[in-house]
Amino acid sequence: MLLSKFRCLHEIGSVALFGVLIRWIISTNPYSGKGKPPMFGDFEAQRHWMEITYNLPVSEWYHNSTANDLSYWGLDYPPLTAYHSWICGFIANRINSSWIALSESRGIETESHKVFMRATAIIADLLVYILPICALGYQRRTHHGGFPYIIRICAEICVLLLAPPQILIDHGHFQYNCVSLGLTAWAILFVNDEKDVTAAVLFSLALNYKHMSLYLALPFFFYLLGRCHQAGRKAGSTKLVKIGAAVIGTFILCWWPYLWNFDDATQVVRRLFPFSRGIFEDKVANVWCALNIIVKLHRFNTGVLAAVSTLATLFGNVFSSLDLFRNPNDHKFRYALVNSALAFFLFSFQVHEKGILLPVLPATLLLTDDPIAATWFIIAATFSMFPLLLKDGLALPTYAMVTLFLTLSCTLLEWKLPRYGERVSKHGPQNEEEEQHQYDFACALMTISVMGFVILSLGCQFAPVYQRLPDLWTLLLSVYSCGHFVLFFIYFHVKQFEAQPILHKQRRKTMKAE
Amino acid sequence: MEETRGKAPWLRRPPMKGEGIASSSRRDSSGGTLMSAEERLRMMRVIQAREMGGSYHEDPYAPHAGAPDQATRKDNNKSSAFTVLLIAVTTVKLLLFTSYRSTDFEVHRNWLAITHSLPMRQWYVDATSEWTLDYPPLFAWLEFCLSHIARFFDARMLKVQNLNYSSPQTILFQRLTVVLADSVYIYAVSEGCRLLTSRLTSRSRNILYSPATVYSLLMLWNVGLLIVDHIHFQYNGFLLGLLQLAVFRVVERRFLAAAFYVSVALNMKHIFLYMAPAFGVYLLRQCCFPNSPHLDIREFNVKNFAALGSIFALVTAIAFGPFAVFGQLPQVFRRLFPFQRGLTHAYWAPNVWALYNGADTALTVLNKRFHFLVQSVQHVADSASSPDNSTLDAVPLVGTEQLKIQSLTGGVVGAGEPNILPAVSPSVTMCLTILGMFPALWSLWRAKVGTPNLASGDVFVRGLVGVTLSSFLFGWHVHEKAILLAIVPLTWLAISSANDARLFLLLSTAGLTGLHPLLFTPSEIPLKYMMIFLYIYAAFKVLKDRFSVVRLPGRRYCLPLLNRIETLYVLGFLPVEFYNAVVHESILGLCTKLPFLPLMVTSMYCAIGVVYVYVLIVIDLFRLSR
Repeated sequence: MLLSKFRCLHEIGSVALFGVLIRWIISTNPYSGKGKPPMFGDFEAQRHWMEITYNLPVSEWYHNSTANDLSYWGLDYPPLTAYHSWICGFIANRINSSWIALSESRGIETESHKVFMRATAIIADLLVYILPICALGYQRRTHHGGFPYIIRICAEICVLLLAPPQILIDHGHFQYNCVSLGLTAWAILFVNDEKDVTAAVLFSLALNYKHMSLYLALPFFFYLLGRCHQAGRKAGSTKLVKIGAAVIGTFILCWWPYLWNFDDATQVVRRLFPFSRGIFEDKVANVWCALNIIVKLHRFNTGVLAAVSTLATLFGNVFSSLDLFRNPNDHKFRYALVNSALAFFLFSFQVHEKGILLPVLPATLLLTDDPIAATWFIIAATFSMFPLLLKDGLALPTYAMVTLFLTLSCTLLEWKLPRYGERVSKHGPQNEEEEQHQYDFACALMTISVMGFVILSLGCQFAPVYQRLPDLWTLLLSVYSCGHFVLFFIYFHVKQFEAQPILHKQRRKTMKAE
Repeated sequence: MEETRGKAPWLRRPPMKGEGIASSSRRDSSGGTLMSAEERLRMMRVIQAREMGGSYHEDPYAPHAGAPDQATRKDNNKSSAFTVLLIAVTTVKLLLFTSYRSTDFEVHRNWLAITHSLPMRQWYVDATSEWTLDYPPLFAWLEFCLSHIARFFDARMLKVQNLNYSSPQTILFQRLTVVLADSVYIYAVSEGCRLLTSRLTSRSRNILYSPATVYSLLMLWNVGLLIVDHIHFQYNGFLLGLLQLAVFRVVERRFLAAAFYVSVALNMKHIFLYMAPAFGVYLLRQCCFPNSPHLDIREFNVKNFAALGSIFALVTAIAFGPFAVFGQLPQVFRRLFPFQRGLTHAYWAPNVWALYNGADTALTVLNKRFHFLVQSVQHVADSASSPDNSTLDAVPLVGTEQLKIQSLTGGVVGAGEPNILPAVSPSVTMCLTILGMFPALWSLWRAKVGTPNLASGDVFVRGLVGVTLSSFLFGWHVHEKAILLAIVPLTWLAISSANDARLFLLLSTAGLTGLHPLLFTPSEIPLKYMMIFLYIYAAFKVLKDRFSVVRLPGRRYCLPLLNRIETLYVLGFLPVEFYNAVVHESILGLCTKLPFLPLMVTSMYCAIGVVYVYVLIVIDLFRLSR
């Protein structure tokens, strides 16, 4: 989908600019690890990677050496992140070389440097994340020459762009999740456009930027496989070969410098998957952390835990993946993305709080089709990261962003319960009334649940700390969020099984008629 | 009730708009949940016709107004647009808490401390901090009240000796007070919406472009206030809320309430003196000669005059009374009116004196090159190390004369005097201001008396804007922020007439852009440009849709509502600000040689727009009072 196909560019552009504005306002807030030597935080990690990649040759990036102390924020993301850091480092060097001076620049905290880092994140966000989100919002309303309902499109794009988790983490806490998420969004855009090879290439790039994108890999795999299967034996296998070649080609290109030496490659892989860190970190809102309250998991062998968690993850993925393979369509695909990412988040080994960003991306795209559930889920995801954000001094922006998002979502989107399958055909006053009841019930439940989040988050900030249970409120919050995620996991599965195609409805019908 | 005046021939409202919408929404609600194919086609045609520059007779967004979905319909009631805009802007204000704050933050913290920990006799005497109390006493009373809440946040901010104290709690408290004080402004805007809906009910059923929505968008998201109050730090929103309330009471012809609000505003911040003459003249005329179309001194209504006078006197007495008892009034007034501060503020406000100083600087530069003046100023140029260098600030700082040049283009507060043109004294500015106010005051005095007609309110508001702009343009030591005093009332006019909408667009473009030098830290530079651009874009967009502008062939390359020269002027801001933000420093590298050139260029370019709007308003006033 080319940019030239857009109509009403300047309206959409102004909405995108509003998104950038909000991001920039958030970025005036403090970042992670500000003024906290000796390790600082993710902000320093990103800066350190620029320093390392700019000053050292490619082969040394992942190796421990005197110049590259891996215990101080060593590079542990795939090569595309490293290249991105190199580009940023190159620009930083042109502006002010002291920002990335090798080992002398550690913990640098000047105002101009902060603005530089913030600007790199926002530019990356604009180019890689905001653009595909705008395109997806546009595509949703204009498929098959539909009327460009410009106010509706702008309203939807505005809500999609203001989903708080990614904004708060990227521009408050500081990371470049927007790149991997944005590449995934581009891939989804091309999937919707039925350009499967391009989509596969883009998703491979996302994987090579941040390996956490693996959370979303299974739906991509099964969707593309299902599409090949659907296309028939001959055309399907050709397509499969094409996609496979494209993926392998992308990987080879990204890993080019490391392919010539087996040691280098294994070192990178070791850095990417550190099994030594334990099954979960801090108080993450997944099943293992909740289970840990009852059964102390650290007594078990790490290998056993890894095996159990992998099995659980795979089991969590089976239903949604098989369903997607049997009946691949754009709508099921979005639900499957949420389901798969949630399965990984809930059950897999070594999960981080920020992992929730991955299910949030497809959930954001579901905002137009299933607004209540998606909004609710996104808010729950935001609050599940609250302890992290609180540590960075981002409590007030979190509340503000959630309020903004909730308000815009419930006024700009058509809040209704999704109706798919057989239920669509039923019409009549009685049914309408029943739906109204369901709608009111859903809204009431959501209000109660969000109130719960607010109370727990306030508890994290202001409640007195008990000596025996110092992390009581944080733990309560994470268990509460975990409960939400498990229920959403079930709900989204149900919805996935019901989902009918949206974008290619007409074409499917005509195909059947033929 | 339709406005009849101010309708240029190129503006036309689509006829029967309300009816068209009503019928289409009726069709929607009966027809089922999906828009029919015909309807879609019709809308496509309408949009196409509009894009081709032709006319259309139906609101393109009409079906949206009667959106088929029940949930949407439930949300789309009149108040929801206001509420959404309000919540959204409030969250943005909260997000801005950690952004840059100017010395005004410390100024207000110091006032909290002074009013809290010093006896009242000391309030206007204390000079521990250089930021002495220089607002009228009612504001000091407000700070006194606030300081009692401040105790619960951080008591150390209330110590006078704690200069530049800014703990996180202090920042939180002070920022929160601004956000909460804005509730007066929000109440005023909601009052305005109420008046607008009562006045323009039958116009449009479409929520998105109803007058109330447009008004609340333009007012609540006023970027000038966001910049000045929520980034730079001041309490203008609160005070402008009082002003708005006063204006609305005048529009409703509740003059005593209006007098009360004006008195409170005046005793809070004496900048409202800029517009006080308008209120004075209009209220006197309307209250004291209520029955005479021609001025007749025998019909002077003493009762009304006494009521007005006593309200004003009472408020002022409460404010100034204690200081009068202490015998400190001269001291208070010395603090309030520091005439030693110079003709122009640190950064030139975009007014006549910016142009005057600009002309003077240009003459100085020319004189340095061509030596056409053999006067005492000549030695300024001669003592420069490189006399043939034509650029002004290439002169190294060696003597006081150079400092004088520097200070003109610079940000130095002080009595910078022009080099070549004659110096301007406060009395000259005073005379010019009164002269400039004259047309507006004349029209206010001539305004029809006693007609309970809401349109007569517009006569008053237009006169008010004229008076304020005159003060802004010719006043002594004017701050660039004062332009908000004119923009806010003009927004009210912009809703009901297309001609005023045009003035509003020009004035807000010039005035708001003129505010941006307030923010200069690296992280706020992109922020301010984005905010100003988005606001002006949105203003053009909503006002264009509100007045359903039909472009004539001759106006093909114009922005909506503007003519070609005005379009050029507005678009000219893009290259000017691009030069200031990027070219001047990064490409030409002139930031050390000519550090203040961008400010000068901005303020002069904005000044042209403000003067132009003032002239148009004066012409309108004459035209309408005839």
